[in-house]
Parts: sequence; C-alpha cells; structure tokens
Amino acid sequence: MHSTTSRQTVSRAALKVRGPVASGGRPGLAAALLALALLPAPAVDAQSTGGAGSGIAATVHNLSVSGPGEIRSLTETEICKFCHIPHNPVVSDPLWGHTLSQQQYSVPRSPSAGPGVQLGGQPDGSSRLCLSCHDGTVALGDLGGRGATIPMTGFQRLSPGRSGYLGTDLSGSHPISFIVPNGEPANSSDRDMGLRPLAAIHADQDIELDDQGKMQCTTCHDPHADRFYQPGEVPRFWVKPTVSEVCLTCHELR
Amino acid sequence: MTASAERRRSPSGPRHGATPGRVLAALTCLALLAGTGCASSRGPSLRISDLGWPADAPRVRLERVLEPQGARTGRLFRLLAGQPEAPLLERPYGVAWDGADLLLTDPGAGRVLRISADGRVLASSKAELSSPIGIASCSRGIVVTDSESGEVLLLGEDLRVRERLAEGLLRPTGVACSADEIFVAETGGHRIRVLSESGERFLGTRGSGPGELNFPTSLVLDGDDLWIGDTLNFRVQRIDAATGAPRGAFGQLGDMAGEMPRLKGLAIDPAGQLWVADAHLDAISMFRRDGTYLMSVGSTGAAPGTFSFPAGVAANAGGELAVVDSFNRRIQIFRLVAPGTDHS
Repeated sequence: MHSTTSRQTVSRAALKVRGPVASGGRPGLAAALLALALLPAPAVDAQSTGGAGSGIAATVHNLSVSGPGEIRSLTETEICKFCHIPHNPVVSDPLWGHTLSQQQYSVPRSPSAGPGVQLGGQPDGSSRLCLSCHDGTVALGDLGGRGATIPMTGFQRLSPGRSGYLGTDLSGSHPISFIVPNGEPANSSDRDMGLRPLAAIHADQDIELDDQGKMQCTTCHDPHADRFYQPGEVPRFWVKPTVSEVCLTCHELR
Repeated sequence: MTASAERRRSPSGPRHGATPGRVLAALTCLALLAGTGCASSRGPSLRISDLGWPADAPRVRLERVLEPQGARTGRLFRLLAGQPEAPLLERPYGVAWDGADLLLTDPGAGRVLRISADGRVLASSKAELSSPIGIASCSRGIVVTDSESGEVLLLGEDLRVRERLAEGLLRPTGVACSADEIFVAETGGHRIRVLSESGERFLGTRGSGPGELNFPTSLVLDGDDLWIGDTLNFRVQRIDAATGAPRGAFGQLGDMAGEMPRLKGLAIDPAGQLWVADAHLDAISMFRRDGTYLMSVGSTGAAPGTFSFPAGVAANAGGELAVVDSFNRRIQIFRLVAPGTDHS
C-alpha cells in the first residue's frame, strides 16, 4: 500500500521538463519541478497512516507466518485474512447432509433451557471476533488484567480491585456488547457511573461505538494500530495516549 | 441429522414413453438444445444432488446438556439480583474423559473440575491457576497446561498441583499423551514440545508449509499419528509423532460450514472420524481422516444444539462426544448413533 505522498512524488518525477525555459518565461517553475523530481520517494512504510490497516504489519496483530517486523513486502491481504475472514460462497458439499437445524433434534424439554431465556451479557458484534482468539489460546484471555486496578486520576467509585466492580462474563474487564444509554438512566441503581450524554461520546473522534450504538472491544482498542502501548501503563491497541483519557470520554469523575 | 438410512433417491433422469407427441417434443428439444450449443441428449432436467447417504451413515444426536444452576446470567445480573457467588463455570475451555467422568478446565475461574456423568461436581481445584487450557488423563496423572503461566502441571486426585512438569513454554495449550510421552502444543512458539523421562524434544517450526505450524492450539494422538489443530493456518495437520514428518493436512479459511476460520477443539471418535470445533462458525464439524468433509452440527445461539464459542471437544469409547460451549457456560454431550439403533 503506497502512501499518498509517495504516489505524488512518483508522478512528479515523471514530469518532463520541456526544453530550455524561455528567458521571458517562468524559470522558477521548471527549477521547482526539477527539485521535486529529485526528492527521494519516501519508503513504503507500514507505519504510515495512509489508509486503514496500514500500521498493522508492525503490531502483534500481524499473525502471518513472517510476523511483525520482518518481510515488509508482504501484501496486506495476507495479514487481513486472519480477522477479516473471506467469504467463500462455493465450498464442497458435506457428504453426510446439510448443516443441522435445531428442529432435527428431538430434545426433551430442559427446565433450564426454555425458549426466550436471555443470556445476560453475551458478547456480540465485532467483539466476537476479538474473543475468538483472546481466550487464552491464540492470545491472552481475560485480557490478562484480572484484578488489576486501572490507573486513573482522581478518585473513582469503580475499579476492578474494589468490591462492586461490575464485570460481565469477562472476568475483570469492562462490560461490553451493551447499548450505551444516553446519560445516566433516570431510575438507575445506586451505582453512579457518571455516564456522559451520548452526544459527548460521539463527539470524540477516537472512541467509537458500533453501528448499533453498542460498546464493544473496538470502542477502546483499535486492532489495526498499536500507537500508545506502554507495558504496565497503557494497554495494547489503546486509542488514546493514556488510560484515563479513554475512560473519561464516557465517564465523568465524581 | 435425522435423515434415515432408508431414504433413497430415485435414479436420475426422467423416463419418457415413446409416444409420437413426446418424440416430437424430444426432437424439438434436441434441435433447440443443439441450436443453443447444449450437448444434452435427454432434454432439460433438474440437477439431483444425491447426498450419497451410505447405508452405514451414523447419526448424531444431542443427549445431554450439563450446565450449572443460574449459569445463564452474567455477573452483573447476579449482583443486581443479590446472588454474588461465583458461578460453577465461568468460562470453561478444555475437556477430557476420564472413565465415566469429565475433566474440565475453566480459565475464566482459574481452576479445574471433575464432573460425573450425571452432572455432580466430584472435585474442583482451588482457583490457583492462571489460565488452564488443555487437560489430559495420562499415565502419570492428570496433566494440565496453563497458557498464561507457561507451565505444564501434574495434578493429584484432589486436582491440586502436585508437580510442575515444565515451565517457560510459549503459551502451552493443547495436550495429548502416550504411554511415556506428553505432547504439548506451544501456541505462541508455533511448535509441539514433547516431554518424557529422558528429556524434551520439539516438533514443527513456524510456517505455512507441510509440517509447519502457525499458532497451533489442539492435539490428538492416534497411534503414531499426531493430529494438530493448526489454528492460524486454518487446517488440521497430521504428523509423525516420533519424527514430525508431515503426513497430510486439510482445511481452509472461510466462513462456511466445513471450513476452519477459528479451529479450536479437536477429537477423534471411535469410528475414526475427526471432530473440529470452530469458535467463529459456532459449530462442530466432522471429517474423514483424508479430509473429506462429512457434516456439521450447530450454529450460534444458546438453545441446546447451538453454541457460543465452542472450545474443547473429547470423544470416549462409548461414542459420546463432549463439547465445551464456553460462553454458554455448559458442556453439551452428543452421541454418535450407529444406524439401526434408532432408539438405543
């Protein structure tokens, strides 16, 4: 993937300076063009910010067999496929029948499995993609931070080490896959989250909710660029230079 | 799959009587087809995909779902509802049969459980492990891998850690054992480490060629074959357990049933078929050893027969297949039913 700058430099280098410039003409332009043409083209840099994913080759999300920091000529698609799973419309038919549907089982009714039982806090959306690797096998599960207090400025009512910290099924982590309400709900429990209005959250360029307005892993982590990682200080793929800035986008300090 | 073995497809192709009207129609069709370049001599017909049910096709049925009481609620709900105690299963991963019992690892809770066939928890370790993933009942005892601490541990009958067999591994996950060797998949090291009384040896290196690995996660030992869930090469590989020589591989990346975008658990059933659990497809798929895709079971969901991040799978000699349904916090047990034994 070439950055925009390099493409322009290449095209400028292709310009011909036509003949000697007439004495009454514009000597400066020809000289400028020539100077530009002689500029070395910037190297294609995987760290450049030209386009989505261009920084990923140098991060730990480069899961290709050559890994980060090695063969830079590796095409982007070889890295993308690990998460952006290609759709294969034509596959070999299963020999022994089609994918089973639930009706094909005669399952006796189980008292704990009636219809309409809603699992609390099941991850969905893009977070499913993260969790398919971050389960302790391909990558660390439970985000490696069980029990650690998130460093914050000021006093916070909620932190993982304190009782009353509300996780979901992901032990020790912030809840995910829920629709972010607009400000504090009127009849909320005694746990004051200090939630800012949605407009304030949307106004931030780095913090993104998904297209259903849900918080997902990608709200705080950009899987394509690991710009601010500092071991023990700032998590990997964090979208802002410090931990607090991300938290404070959605939560006010009380 | 309830299609009975008695279902038969009619022989392909319609039958024509040779009445003059039909002969004329046939000739007209022929002329049209010849004119349009089609070479068929039988006229238009529907394509019949004979599913090819062999007479001995087995069936799979869901027999039991093992889940703790209150497993379906998240911690948030439980706290608000005044039930603060931790669930019996937080986020289970690995499973192994040990006689009639199931051994289960729960990296979400950091511990190991032994569960009887009727769902009683016979033993549980303290929550002293970081991320127990693979588990196997070996000759020396119960072997567990801890992917976060990088250790291979030997547990006693009380499921407490008795001995550290190896440390410093690069994210150990899948484990399988023979009479005198323990095979451990080092997911972060892209290799298999083999432990024995006489020391250690290694199989495989990082790569995508035959015998090479990219984030392997699961292992099954079958005779002198070591089957590896080569997760980020999106395939199952078979190598010589002694030499590491590649003996074949199958599987591909994709989002359709039978493909392996997130291969996790691996098992071989008594009939010799391979079962693969995929955490992206939320399904388990059955393959022949030569890679022929046979069928899939399941889809995303919470109802019985559906999954949310299926992880470890294990088959026992009695034809039961245990599947850890990790985010549904339960174990689903399927049975492979031989044909002719519908109501066994």
